[in-house]
Amino acid sequence: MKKKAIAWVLTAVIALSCCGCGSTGDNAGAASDGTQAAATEAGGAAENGGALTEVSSDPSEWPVVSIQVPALTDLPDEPIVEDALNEYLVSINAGVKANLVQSSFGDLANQLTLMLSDNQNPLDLFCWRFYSTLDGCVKNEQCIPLDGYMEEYSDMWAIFPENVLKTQQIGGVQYAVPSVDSYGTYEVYNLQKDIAEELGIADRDGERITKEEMTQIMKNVVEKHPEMAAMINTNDEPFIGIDTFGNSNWLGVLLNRGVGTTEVVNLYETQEWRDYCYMMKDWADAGIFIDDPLNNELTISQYNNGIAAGCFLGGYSADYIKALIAYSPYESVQFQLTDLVGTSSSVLGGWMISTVCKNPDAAMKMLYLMTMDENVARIMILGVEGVHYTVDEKGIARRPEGVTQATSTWNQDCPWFYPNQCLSIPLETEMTTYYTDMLDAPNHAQFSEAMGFVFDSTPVYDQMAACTTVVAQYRDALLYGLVDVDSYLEKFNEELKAAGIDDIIAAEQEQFDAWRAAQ
Amino acid sequence: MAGNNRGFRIAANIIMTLLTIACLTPFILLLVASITDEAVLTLNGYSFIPEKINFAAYNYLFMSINRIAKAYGITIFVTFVGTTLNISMTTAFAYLLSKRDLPGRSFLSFFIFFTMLFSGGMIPSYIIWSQYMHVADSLLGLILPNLAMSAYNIILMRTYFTTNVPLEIMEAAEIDSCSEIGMLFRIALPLSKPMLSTVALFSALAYWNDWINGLYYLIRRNDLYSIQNVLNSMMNNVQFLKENTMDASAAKFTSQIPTQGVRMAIAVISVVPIMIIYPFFQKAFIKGIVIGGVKG
Amino acid sequence: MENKKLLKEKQRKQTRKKIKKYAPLYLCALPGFIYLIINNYLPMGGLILAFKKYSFAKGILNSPWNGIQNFTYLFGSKWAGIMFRNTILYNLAFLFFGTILAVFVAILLNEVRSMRAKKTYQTLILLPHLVSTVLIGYLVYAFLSSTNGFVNKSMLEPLGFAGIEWYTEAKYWPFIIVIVQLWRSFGFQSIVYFATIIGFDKTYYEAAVVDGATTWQQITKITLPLLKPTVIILTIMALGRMFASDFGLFYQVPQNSGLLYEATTTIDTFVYRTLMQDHDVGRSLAAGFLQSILGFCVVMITNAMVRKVEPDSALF
Repeated sequence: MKKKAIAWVLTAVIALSCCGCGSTGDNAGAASDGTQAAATEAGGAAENGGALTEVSSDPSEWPVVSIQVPALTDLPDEPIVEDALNEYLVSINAGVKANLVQSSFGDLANQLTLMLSDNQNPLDLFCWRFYSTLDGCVKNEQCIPLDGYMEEYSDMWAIFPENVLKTQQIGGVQYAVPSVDSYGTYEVYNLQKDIAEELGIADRDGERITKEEMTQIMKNVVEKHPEMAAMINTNDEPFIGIDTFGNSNWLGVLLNRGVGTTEVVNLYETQEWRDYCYMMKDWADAGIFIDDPLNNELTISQYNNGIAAGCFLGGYSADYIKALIAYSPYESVQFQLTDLVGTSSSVLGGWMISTVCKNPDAAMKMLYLMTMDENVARIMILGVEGVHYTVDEKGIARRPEGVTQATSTWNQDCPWFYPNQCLSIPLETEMTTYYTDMLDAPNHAQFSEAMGFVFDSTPVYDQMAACTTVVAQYRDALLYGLVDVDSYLEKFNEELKAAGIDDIIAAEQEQFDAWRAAQ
Repeated sequence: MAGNNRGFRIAANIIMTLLTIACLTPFILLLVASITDEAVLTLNGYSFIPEKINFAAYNYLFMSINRIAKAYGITIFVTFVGTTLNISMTTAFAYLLSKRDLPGRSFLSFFIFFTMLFSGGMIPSYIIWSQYMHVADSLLGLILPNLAMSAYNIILMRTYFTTNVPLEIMEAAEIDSCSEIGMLFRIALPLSKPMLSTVALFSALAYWNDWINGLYYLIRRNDLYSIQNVLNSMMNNVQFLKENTMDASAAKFTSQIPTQGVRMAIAVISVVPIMIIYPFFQKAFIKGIVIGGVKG
Repeated sequence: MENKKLLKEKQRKQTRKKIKKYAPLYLCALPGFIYLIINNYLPMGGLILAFKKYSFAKGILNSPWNGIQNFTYLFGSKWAGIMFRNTILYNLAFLFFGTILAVFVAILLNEVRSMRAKKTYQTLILLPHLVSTVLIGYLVYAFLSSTNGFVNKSMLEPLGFAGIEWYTEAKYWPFIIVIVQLWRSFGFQSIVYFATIIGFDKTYYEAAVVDGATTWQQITKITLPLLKPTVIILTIMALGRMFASDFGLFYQVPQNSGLLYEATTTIDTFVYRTLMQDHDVGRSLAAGFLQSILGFCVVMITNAMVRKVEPDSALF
């Protein structure tokens, strides 16, 4: 009996692997053809601005565009949302259909890399946010230029301010459609209302305070509540006051968030940074931080579960920030810390067409619809009306009875990930002007001199890579006041120098000057 | 004299007991953590005697019982099919190599050994398996890549065949005009049961503990994730949220992180089956280690 | 001349005969052969990327060559030294302490007389070997988390010591990693030695007892000398894996903490980080390629050594 079983398995295996062999050969040919085709098409589109003019009357012949959808866990309702979206696309005779590809944030690094190297079953539309940078995607040739689509979709490009569009360009070539946002934020110190009342400062809600006042408030907090921390994470560019050109390692920055300054400096050598490190050491010694900040989850959940009484938050208005944090079990007060400023980093993401995409024209059409069509945007952001949400009389989306953020079968918490969240409606908040205020915010913001400047790191590629590792190694310890500032900073700077940070800064200054001259 | 020896034995027992405890305690700590009240866990830390017991983590898992049960089912299925496949291919190959006078024997040995050292990395493997072999987005993606045969197991088994299956018996069988395949089934395999179960266990463990295949080949079908994939994906998400800490608009999003207790509970349910099955394989496993360790 | 030709002809005939005889076996092994080609050999073609600047648009074959730039970058950074140093030193430490501990435990096991106790010990010390490194990462965190880990909260603090920030202090990690590795592997290794000890000829011990030798004398005079060949062979084998490291042990267990990089960067974690952070396929493969080449050389040398010491154990 046993023998027979094994013999059968062996036979089956042989048969299987033979089939495998056969198909290997065939597909090898097909695949390389595909690559060729994709490459020519991509080229053609970029040159001619190829339009998706002829729409077949039969929707089943329409090209299907696969689109990245953000997720944290498995979204069981993906087919339902996809069907609803396609039904709508058919109803407007869009000429393209969608295939939603959910990608879990934690696995992005692996999975996007693989999908973007797969030209047989390609991912067509993706957003660089959380995965890489505009610069990185362009350098690795993961996305195609969109210049060919400027005229055809001019109404789409027109909804973005000039300097916002520029943030998604390299060398004057448009590579991505920015995600619509307020483009400018200020930072607040967000504190539990109960504790603010205890300290007698609850009535100062919304007031602007200085760094020293903030430090004092936090010291008072931990004095009253030694069991709590007063701050979660300090990796906060606006509070430090820098425009980083979108580089999260801060290798070359403009101080004062780039408002009124054009000198690229090495932040880590500045007095400002040294002072900031001292301040962090002071905070750490006063017990303001959570213990073991480097391993603890420095996320807002520490505020929500009462471990930290306060934290930094950013947004374009106090109401907006209150709305963002409304789901928290604690009511809060906010103290404004900085001006409303927009930098390149305020444009948090951009949508791209991948180089493996076989039909860039169709992908572009889809991206256009995601940015301009209210229904498309809303289905992707909120799911299906009546299934995943209902709209109340104030125009706010509400989850169905008994459904919470954790149990929702569609991820409704990442509107900001999509190209145009402002086409959607606010979710579970009392702030009806959530999106309208967002659109208005840029009118009140100051902008960095470097808004729209994108550094092309190719000439200093090696230095960038080397400095990145140095920063990964040293910076956090300084940010959380874990080490002696002077000696550690000295070592840090020595290694940065050795890794070639000066070359980076020189290159940045040079490109930045050239860019400004061209404006 | 006898006293000396007895003392030695007692000391040996004591030390062995301590070592055994050292091996066991971390698992107990994990188990206890999974039933500790979250607030107590955060405040008092991990401990063997929790102040307050709370099964909330398991309740939470129970809420998503469908997903967990499915992931479990997939793990079991994949482990079973994968192990069967692995055993068949490994046995066939190892048996061939065990023939001392086999033409091309040293070439084949080298062919196998070479795979232990060189690899083309993630992207080439992915391209071969997903684009040419089309295993992506199906359970085959969990079964075939990387795990269906390992050079190490082949070498183990080849060694076992050459050392534990007496040549005389084989020769006698040959004279009785028994075919080569017949000899494999009638003589070699029955004599190699311990090795078979060891290789089976190695392979089953590899399948059970694997999360890479799911990560690479189930990109569009994460509903087919195995239990280790669920665990690993959760870890990765926690890591991600740590790194993108307080992005204001993402703030709300981060409240979705499962609590420490839940993570520990998932870890517990992923090891429990191994702990349960292991004693049954224990004997063969130990035997296998011996053969593999000394001669491998 | 004639003779040689005849001999050759004869050999060829014999070979043909053997091939015919073993034909069914070759056929059975064919799936495995094909599998290795698909799974291992075809992807090796990707190694050419170590000499290319990988472009996602152009794919593996059409990406532009960039000579040895990927390698020169590697040696230009300080990580080349660190990762090779760490990989080799950790392996040496694992080998040295691992062998001592394993032999020690094997001897102890041999002294345990109760069969049931012996079995229990064997079973339990193998447990750590069964779980994935992801899980070991969880276990270590439960002990070392500085906010609520067992070591700080239940050991150091009650004794009046300040808690230690384990995940930020690189100096502790060489010890932690060695301990974790020993914890995980000693059971496996000691059972190898234990089995060897059981296989020894009992008459040596019987004679020793008659001569009035103590247990200690039996161990030092009989067991250890007899174990020597096994230790040598296992050591040589381990040397062959000198340039390999367990990715999970150095990545998941230290939680990829940046402050620990000096102590935890090995070739494998470096390769992974280069790929995941910089998406630089070429450079990560360059490091991996180097590792393969070095490993290959070491294995060839050790294999030659093994063949001299004990021809039967040679790999090929």
